[in-house]
Amino acid sequence: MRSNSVFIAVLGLAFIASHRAVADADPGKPVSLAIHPQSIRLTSARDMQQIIVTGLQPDGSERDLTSSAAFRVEAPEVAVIGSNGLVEPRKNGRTTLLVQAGALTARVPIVVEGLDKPQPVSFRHEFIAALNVAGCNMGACHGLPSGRGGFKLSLRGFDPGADYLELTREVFGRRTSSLDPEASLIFQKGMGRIPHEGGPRLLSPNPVPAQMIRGWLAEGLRNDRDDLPALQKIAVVPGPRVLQAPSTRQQLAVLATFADGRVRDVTRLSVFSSSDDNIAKVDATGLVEMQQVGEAAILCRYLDVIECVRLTYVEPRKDFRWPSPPENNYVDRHVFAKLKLLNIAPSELCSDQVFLRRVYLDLCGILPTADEVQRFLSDKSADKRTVLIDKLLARPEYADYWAHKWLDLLRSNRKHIQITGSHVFRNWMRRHFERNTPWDAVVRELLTAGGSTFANPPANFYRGNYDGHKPSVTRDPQTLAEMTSQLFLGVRMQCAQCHNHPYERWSQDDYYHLAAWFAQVKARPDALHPGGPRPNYPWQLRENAIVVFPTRSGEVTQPRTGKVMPPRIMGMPAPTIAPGTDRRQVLAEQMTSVKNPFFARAAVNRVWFHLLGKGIVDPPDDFRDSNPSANDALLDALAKDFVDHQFDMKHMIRTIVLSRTYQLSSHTNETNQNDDKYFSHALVMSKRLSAEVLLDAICAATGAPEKFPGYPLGTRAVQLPDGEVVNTGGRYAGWDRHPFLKAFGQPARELVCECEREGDVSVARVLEMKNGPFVRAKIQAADNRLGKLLARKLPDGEVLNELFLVTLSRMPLEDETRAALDIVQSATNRREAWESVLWALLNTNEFLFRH
Amino acid sequence: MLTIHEGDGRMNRRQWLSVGSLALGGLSLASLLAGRAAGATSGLITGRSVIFLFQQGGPSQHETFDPKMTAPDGVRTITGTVRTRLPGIYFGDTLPQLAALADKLTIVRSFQTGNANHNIRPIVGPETLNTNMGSLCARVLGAMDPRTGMPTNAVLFPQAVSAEVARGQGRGDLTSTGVVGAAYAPMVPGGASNMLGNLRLSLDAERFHQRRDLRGQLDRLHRRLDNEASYQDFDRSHRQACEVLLSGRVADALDLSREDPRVVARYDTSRFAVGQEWPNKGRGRKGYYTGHAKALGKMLLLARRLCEAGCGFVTVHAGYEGIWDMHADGENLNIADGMQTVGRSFDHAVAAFIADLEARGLEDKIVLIAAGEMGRTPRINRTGGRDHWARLAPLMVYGGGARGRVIGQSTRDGGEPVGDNYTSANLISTVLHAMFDIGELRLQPALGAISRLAETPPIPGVIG
Repeated sequence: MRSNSVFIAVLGLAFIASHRAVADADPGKPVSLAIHPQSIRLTSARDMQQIIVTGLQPDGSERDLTSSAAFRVEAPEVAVIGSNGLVEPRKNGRTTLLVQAGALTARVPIVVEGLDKPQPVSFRHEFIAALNVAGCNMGACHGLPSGRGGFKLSLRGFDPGADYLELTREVFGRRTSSLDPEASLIFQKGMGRIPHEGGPRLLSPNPVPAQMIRGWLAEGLRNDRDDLPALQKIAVVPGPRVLQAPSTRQQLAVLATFADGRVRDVTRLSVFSSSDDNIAKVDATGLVEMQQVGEAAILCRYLDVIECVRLTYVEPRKDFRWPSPPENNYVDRHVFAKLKLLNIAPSELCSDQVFLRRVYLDLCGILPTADEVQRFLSDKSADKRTVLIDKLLARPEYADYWAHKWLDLLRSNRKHIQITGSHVFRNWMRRHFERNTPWDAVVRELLTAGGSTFANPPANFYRGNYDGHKPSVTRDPQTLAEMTSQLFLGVRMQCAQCHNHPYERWSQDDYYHLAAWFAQVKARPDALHPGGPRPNYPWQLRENAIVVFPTRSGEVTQPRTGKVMPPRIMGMPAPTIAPGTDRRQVLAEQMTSVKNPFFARAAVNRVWFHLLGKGIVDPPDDFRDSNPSANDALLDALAKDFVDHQFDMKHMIRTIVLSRTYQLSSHTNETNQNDDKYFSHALVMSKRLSAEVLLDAICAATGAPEKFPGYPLGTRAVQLPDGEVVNTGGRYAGWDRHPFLKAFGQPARELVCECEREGDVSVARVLEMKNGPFVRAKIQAADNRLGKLLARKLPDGEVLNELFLVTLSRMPLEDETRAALDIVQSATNRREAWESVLWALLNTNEFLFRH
Repeated sequence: MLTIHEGDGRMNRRQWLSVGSLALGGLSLASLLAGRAAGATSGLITGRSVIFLFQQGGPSQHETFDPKMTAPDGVRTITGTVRTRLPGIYFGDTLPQLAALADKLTIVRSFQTGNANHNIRPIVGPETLNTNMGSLCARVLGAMDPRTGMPTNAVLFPQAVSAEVARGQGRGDLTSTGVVGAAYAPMVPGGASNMLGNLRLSLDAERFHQRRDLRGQLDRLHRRLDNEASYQDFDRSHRQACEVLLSGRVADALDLSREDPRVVARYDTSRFAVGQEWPNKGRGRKGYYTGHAKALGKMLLLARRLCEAGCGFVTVHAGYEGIWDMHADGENLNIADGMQTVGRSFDHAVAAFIADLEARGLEDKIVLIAAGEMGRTPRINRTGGRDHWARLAPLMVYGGGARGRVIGQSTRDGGEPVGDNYTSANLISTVLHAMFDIGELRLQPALGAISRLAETPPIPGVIG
């Protein structure tokens, strides 16, 4: 043993010198080494083993030394190792792997056996995995339902049987040839020997997929035997880890366990991806390279099994001192703990003036009036922010605004639920926000709704798309399952309708289990509102309602297996449903049960998203392992608080808005200027005023309210029960949206996705603000705010102050006053000059964004 | 069989190469705020534009692309036939110019709309979720081309090129925006539209400059955010908007007087007005036949100009309320006379368009589709017309990098497809495949309704 160490020390120097140069070769000063695995057993010519060397540093942290360690196999005729730590067998025998890192060495015994037995490439376990790694069967390529270039594979190999036929039988077998494997189309194209739209996918730093594909071709396109042991699970080594600079690399290894108990290293047959490429990048061999401070989940997939591993990267900052900002409540405790770990200092508290405008917009969707601004700014009491929050939560505009957000998602749209339907639906939703009904009760009412859609507003949730021909249908169980899942569980299930979810553990079975809850909902025409053509105007239809009711029959079958699926929520135990019960009653109970891991989290995350401009899980309705939350502890604490307070919506909003985190300034400092994930400063870019809020703000600021047809003057856009307010008239009468709202991305209310509201920048919108008829009319209206101010013959300075207060909620600065008054006082037409000032204020980013 | 597959492969690669260079220029500003990397969307848009020449009324398959000369009298085409450049393929003889270009056209002889009523399918119908096909495309492209301010979706009626021709609309609302939200409504030149109004500066340039400068001085947030990358993207759209307003490029694209007069003359179809108003027919008295002939060529030219300036989908509707509806009744001409004016102007306009596109090297970048809402009965009625027919309709496609060919075949009487048939759903999918990378499209959750339409197989070989 002793002589061995000396030997390594000497030899080590030699091969460290020839070792490839790496950025962070600094092994630190490890006090001990941990090697994965502790012993190596390779039982086939294609077996391989990824070594992971971990050094424990004096400060207790762990550092990955795989890329800086030196390796040597004592008997290279038995096995070889690459500088990347991959061990491959050469012939049967026993030997030892010597690892040296820093001043430490370690030995790992190697056994190679079974190389003399024939072991053909497995179609399912190796060939399909190779296609996965090469990406041939990705959704954008041959994994498309229609295939690409006439070649079609199942998405990410979820249907190997079909793939086998496609590969060996279609196109007269030209794709695969066992006689001349390298002449096979898939090999030629993959290697770039003949042009391939997708590029030379098999030419990669990871040569294993090409070897597997070539091997399978050469061995005669063999299908697997029926007794092929099934894949049971995979594990990723190491588990979650915090990397501290200068250590920026982490090698991963993937181990698969099969039904026969065999465990195999499948690192080179796995697909890796990062949840956030800005924070961590991962290459084809499972080597992660951290890019900047933060957390990322690395998604590792072998065949159809997925495992995620969370890696955090921290850099010490020179002269960084945690500023110890005061914590207003538990929100700050969790947010600041994460920031402290990442060495990010939060911004300062925002000014009163910024807070006022922010909280008006976020809670009520309105701007404060000039009086309200001045009163708040001159108020000297210490708790004025708290008092203001409570006042705003009690205002009717609060209920208007939050009901409006939910009506977007619940598809309150007269095309589908008729004008009356949209009115009753809005009133119902608004009343719940006004009374602050516990959120679980609201959801239960919605999910169990029945009766006429005009008399029982929540039944509109079930109303099917109205196309005039089949007016009395409910939505189909699949659609209802997708909606319910995305709305209340925060999980997007759409992909699982046709195939197992490509990035997630949800399977096609889960999808149809969920759909089964809605298999017994039916509808018939409402006799009181039968619809039909209007007398004398036969091309116009009268309003009609439907009656939604539960029946006792109806099942959902899984289309691929043909099995009848019993109802079940994924991640929840299978329910017992007494015969004759409305399944939806049980669903509503299970959905809102405190045992449901998703319900409260999805709800608080959505509230957080609306207030802070970004979800803790973001997008807010896309919970999955591969899309990790920015702060698990925070999300858990908020969800627990929500449950503890009986799903009290106002309590949640109040708690978040009271936190210092919400009240941080958008001014960044040196440590947080790159952070847009951990809430170290207020986000601005994602908080552009929405179409409706912007229209209302322009009306309020210019003092020229908008008249929507069919609604009294003064009705705000946020209060409209649906977007279709303009009667287009003519013989093909239809409803259209307000031109300003449509230009600014008012959603069509066809999807249950927050993403339907477009926040995109477009030239069309800028043109609408700068040059559109709506803004022009508001600015030029004779009796608007300008008209009234000028009629009072006030000094110019006072007029300007008021214009600033009603648009930007602040007083003008000295240079701003000068610039504006210059224009006014040098103008021949004073009214026109003031209009220019008002135009300029409405077009500032300060007005267009909540900041 | 083998060569067909090889052909497909070759087309795809060429398409792919041309996309590579176009993708950058064709990128919309969409999604920059949402923080999605530009790389994520760059592959989505192929850079092709689609022009849909809508033959409302229902063109006859027999007198256009499927004459059936072996069928008995009373079924086969009345007009006689003309030999095309494709061996063994004949067109109706009012389409001589297209016959000479047949090797560049894709003719689908097994297309059916499943519809025998006058409406605006397949541009707006149940297959498009009651949304203008162009609005679906604009939803993906963004409502305007960010470089030029050109709306990405347009509908052209005859009044877009001439105020003198009779005014007319289709039977139905071509501006329906259905599932995508009205921000994607088509621009209708010569009609009322907010979008066009916004492109014309509403006050003099000097005052606009003054306002713009003042805005800069008042904007504290602007000064603070100036260093942030995401903000710079946002600010760029402001600068582009000002540029669009001050440059007037969209107005230029709409102005045919800026085109070379020889090109305008080449497109001009007014000679097919045949010098008479057809006063014994309702449509003739309304001026529709002359209107169609006077406008159609120029409309195709205008459509090409719009596409060059960044428009993604143009519906060309010169057909008034259904000019191809050749029943030979009090309203409509018979087939023989109708084809003389309507058919010949179609022939000339499309041929001029093809010559022009090839001269400009745009044949891979613009796709022209010509179809109506239905076809016509195999049997000629007793007055010399043909009536409504749902089971077979002519479909012609040009451009987009495809090679000319005839796809599918019809029964002996030209009444139904034999074997595989293609429907409006296949056609919509074809349009989406021409304009977008469907694999990328499927990855955009907000566009789910649109990408589902592309799950129907596209008509094979139509797009190169």
